[in-house]
Amino acid sequence: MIRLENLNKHYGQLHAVNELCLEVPSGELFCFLGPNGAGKTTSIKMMTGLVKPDTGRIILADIDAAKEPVKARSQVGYIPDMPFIYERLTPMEFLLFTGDLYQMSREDVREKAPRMLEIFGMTDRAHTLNRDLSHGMRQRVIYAATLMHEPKVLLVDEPFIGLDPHSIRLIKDLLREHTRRGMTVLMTTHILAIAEEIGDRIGIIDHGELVACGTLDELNTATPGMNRLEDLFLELTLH
Amino acid sequence: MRAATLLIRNHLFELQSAVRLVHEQPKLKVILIGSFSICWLASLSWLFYEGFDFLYRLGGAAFFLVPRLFTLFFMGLGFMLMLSGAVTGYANLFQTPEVRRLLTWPVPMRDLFYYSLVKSTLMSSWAFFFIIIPFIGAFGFYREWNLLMLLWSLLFSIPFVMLCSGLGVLLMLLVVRFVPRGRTLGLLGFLALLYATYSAAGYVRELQANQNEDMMVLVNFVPGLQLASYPLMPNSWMAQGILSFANNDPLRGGIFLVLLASSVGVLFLFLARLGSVIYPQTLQRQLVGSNVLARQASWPSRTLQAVFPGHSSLRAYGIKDVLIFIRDPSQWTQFLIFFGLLALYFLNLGSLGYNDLDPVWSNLIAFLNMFSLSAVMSSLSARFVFPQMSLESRTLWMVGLAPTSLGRLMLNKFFLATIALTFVGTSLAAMSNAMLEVEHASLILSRCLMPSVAFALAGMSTGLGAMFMELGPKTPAQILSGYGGTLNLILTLLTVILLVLIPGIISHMMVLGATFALPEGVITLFTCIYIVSISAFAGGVPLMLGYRALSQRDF
Repeated sequence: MIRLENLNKHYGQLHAVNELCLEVPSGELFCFLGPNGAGKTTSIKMMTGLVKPDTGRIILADIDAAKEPVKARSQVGYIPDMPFIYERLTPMEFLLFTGDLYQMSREDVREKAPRMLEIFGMTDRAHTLNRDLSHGMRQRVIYAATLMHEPKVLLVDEPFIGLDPHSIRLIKDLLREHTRRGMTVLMTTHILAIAEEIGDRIGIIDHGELVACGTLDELNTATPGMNRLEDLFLELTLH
Repeated sequence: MRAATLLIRNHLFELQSAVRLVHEQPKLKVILIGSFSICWLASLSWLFYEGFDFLYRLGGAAFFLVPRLFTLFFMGLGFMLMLSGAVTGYANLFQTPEVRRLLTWPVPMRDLFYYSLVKSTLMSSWAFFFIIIPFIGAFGFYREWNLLMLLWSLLFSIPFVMLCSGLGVLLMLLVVRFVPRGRTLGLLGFLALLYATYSAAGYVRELQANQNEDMMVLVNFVPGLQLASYPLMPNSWMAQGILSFANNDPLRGGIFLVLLASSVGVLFLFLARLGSVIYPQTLQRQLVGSNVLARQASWPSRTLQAVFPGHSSLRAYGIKDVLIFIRDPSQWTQFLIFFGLLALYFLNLGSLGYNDLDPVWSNLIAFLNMFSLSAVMSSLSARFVFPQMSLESRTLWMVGLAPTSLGRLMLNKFFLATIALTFVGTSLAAMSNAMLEVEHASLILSRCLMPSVAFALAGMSTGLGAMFMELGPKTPAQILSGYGGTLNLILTLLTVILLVLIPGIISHMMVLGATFALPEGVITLFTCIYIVSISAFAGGVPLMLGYRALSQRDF
């Protein structure tokens, strides 16, 4: 699970995240929406520990991220919108590198790495240099590497940019499958149709504040006359 | 040719803008580069001047030695230019993102080749003028030439550098196109190259056997002199051309200038013709063929996985960094060129007869060698170690979340850099000492010095790299050109001076037989303590500051 309590972050005069409170239970796929610069990425970076909050508390998989940062991070997987991948390693070598980094045993890595590549349809490209892979294939490698150590919380920033329909379907199915098995997924996206389709709950953030949160039905009920998420989103974030 | 001309003009505009924007660069960087260039030109000119003065004071022998010195100097320069041309040409013709981008534009393939060829020639040769100008300048100054004559002599350099650089590009193009990639065929190619080298060496030996007595003596002293004096070598045309002007024979000099210029014309016409035929296929082969390379290169990966014990972040970074290093020609060629040239020089110390010199001289040469080795280690640590943390910032999405701290990541980088630098430094220093047969005390100091230099350089570059860590997709060149990169370069050079100079002076005084208040063993021990202390301070303090900076900043 993810629990955020009164998170605040300033960048100079800019109040990037303002008293953010949120709880996402285990086995839920939460979609985090908001216009550009609303504070989505900063919130995610605070959850990963890459950015320190000015005030507030972050609990990830029942671990206080401030008190036990290393333990908390070991339970988290993070996939940014444009992740860098070592171009002169092969997918298999990249997975072995990730396994060592996450201190997985050698036997565990040797068993899981080929399996993850198989799940993502990358077995025949396991020994091709990453620089020779397409964007979609690289994304698959990144998902394989992130999920290999079986994190309890997955944070995904814009997962569908530049992907073909096959890859989008694969990742949607994968996120649903892992959520069913108890993983907590927090995903940001600008594609509202996808949020409507796969999100268990949806949160809308604007100017660092959570302005709406709930299931699609709850959001529709709370805002009469707005039957589509797009209308609601524009209404809440247009100033 | 219209597209090629446009592209070259565009590059010239970029260069113009870069010159205009010098004032926006960090002041420290501009001052450092400016003073370094002036000091370099002044000190090299002085050294060459002293050399010519020494030779001409020998009397008649100078008229025999100076022309040979010229041929040897330009041969060495010519080989370095060829190497530089080959490396730069490979990068410009096949590796730069610009080539891939231009392939999608309406630029004819022939124009793309011309443009890349001109760019490679310019990029690979401009720095050599910083060696040629002091050499010719010192000679002209010694012979009291007027400015016009000096400029006239310098004119020779332009076709010479173009010729050598063009030959390097030609060689590279032929190798990339025709050397087979398969292991067996590659091995056969390598054996053929060895045979060709052996045959060439035999031919040179045959030439040596037919020489007059004076030349035989000189050839035994100076390896490569015979090859350098061969009349069909461009370096020989260059040397004879300049000396003809010096000896008031401008007609003969002019003929050599025309010979050089026409050779350049023929070579570039040939390159243009050859390029338009083989470049498109070779480029395609490079663009689509890296999968083959990846499969071929999987054995180092398997070996490293088996050799590195346990499972830790140190192992992860060790394997990853070694694999990326051996698969990136721009990285390993720089290592190979710098340390390979030093190794070649150290291995030849015996054949130069330096081991038979007076111990005072061999000891002095040993410390000068250690200084040059440390200076190369310093520049390579600035190039490779300093940008490491900034480059890793791109992987924070994964590395930052691993159950390890960024401080630990920094220490991993430091350990790997120390191991690599220690290995290279101690091996080459041992090679130099063995060839020079240095005395026991100097040997102990050397064994203490090289690991200490490696520790200090690795610690300083890693620590400062963490303190001045830059986020975002930046290239190593962009990271190095900032304030932190410049500061690191200055501090590492100062550290090398502090570490090598004092032990060098003490060792030199001991060999000279100077009397100390303490026994020689105690002096050696104190010097070792000095080395270790300076090293611990220079490497340890930046590491601590870097560790602290990493724990305090946001990403």
